[in-house]
Amino acid sequence: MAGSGRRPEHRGPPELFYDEAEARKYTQNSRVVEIQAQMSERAVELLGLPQDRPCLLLDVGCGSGLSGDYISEEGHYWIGMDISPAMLDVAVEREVEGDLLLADMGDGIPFRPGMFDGCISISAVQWLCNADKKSQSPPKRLYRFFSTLYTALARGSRAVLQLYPENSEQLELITAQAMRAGFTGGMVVDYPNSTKLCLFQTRAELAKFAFQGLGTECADGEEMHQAKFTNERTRFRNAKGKSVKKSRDWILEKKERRRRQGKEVRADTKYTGRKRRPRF
Amino acid sequence: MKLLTHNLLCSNVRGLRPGGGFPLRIQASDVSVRPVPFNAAFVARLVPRLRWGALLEAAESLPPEPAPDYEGDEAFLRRVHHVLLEVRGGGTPKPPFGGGLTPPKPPLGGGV
Repeated sequence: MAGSGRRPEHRGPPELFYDEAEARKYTQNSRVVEIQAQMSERAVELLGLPQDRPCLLLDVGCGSGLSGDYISEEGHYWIGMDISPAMLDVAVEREVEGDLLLADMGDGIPFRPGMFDGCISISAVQWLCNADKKSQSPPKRLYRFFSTLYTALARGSRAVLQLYPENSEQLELITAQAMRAGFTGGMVVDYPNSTKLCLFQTRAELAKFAFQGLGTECADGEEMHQAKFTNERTRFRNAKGKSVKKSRDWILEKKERRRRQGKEVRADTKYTGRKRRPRF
Repeated sequence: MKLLTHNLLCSNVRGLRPGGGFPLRIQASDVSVRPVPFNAAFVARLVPRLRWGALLEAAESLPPEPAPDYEGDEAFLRRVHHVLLEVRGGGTPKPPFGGGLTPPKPPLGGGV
């Protein structure tokens, strides 16, 4: 029991924290049920789904399916994933409408590209900010979560993630990783003044350009589009950070750096960074 | 787990060749059927997302290809609805790929 003890994230990894007793408590507590229903309502509202047709949604951190109940009431279908087997057992007992999957969201969303019309997550993403093992790195896990979520969503769909960030740094980290993965959009703070129930909602809206061509899926075309998509993102990342290694720019930057350190560096000429002729 | 979820799932372990993570193996211990309200529009919207080959492996009762005008064919949609949403296998949900998500440990260095 490290940390303040007030936040469940400080008490241990989610698969251990939500054991059988906690799962039962969570589902039977009428206050929790009410809050979950409210937040699901708000999340589905922010998703902006079309009124007339049922959609397929992904519920990340579905737990015992409290948020899923609301989705089913609205007439949509959902697939939920959660890391805690005890919570999922409760969901199976309650005979929820959606399908359940035991998986860690930090390992990525294990679905084919463009499969979901939307994604909601109620009070789950803040768990990714904690490293429960030495091998886990929160930024990496967050990035993997967001990037795989981005691919799993259909073109033009949204993800609404409700979370309880511990502090502004966590929120910054989460937003930064979401942006890096290609999400656009922002945050909706519902209760800024309440310290007890701080409801931060990150609303991430998919940028439309990234999924061009994925609108009508055909069995063979998908992989090609997915590969293309990944390549573009890598290029984007390279362009943002340092210049490509061994390039002229990289060499000039490096020389400049050494000059600033007061080291002896050859002058920059037109020959700097040029390739040698084959028979040098 | 329902066959719909199985059809959408794909392994996201790094280092797989493109398209190598699909379909996942099915190990259904007990298969049960639970009625779900039928919605023709939803099922018709699902059909283009499915990989029909993988669905056929699990459910042989389906036709080898969806007909070009399946949207109006209610008998076909009802069959797809039954296979995708009503049949479910296994009691407790299992991780989709047994232990495959954790990266392999690096080999011990020469000095150890």
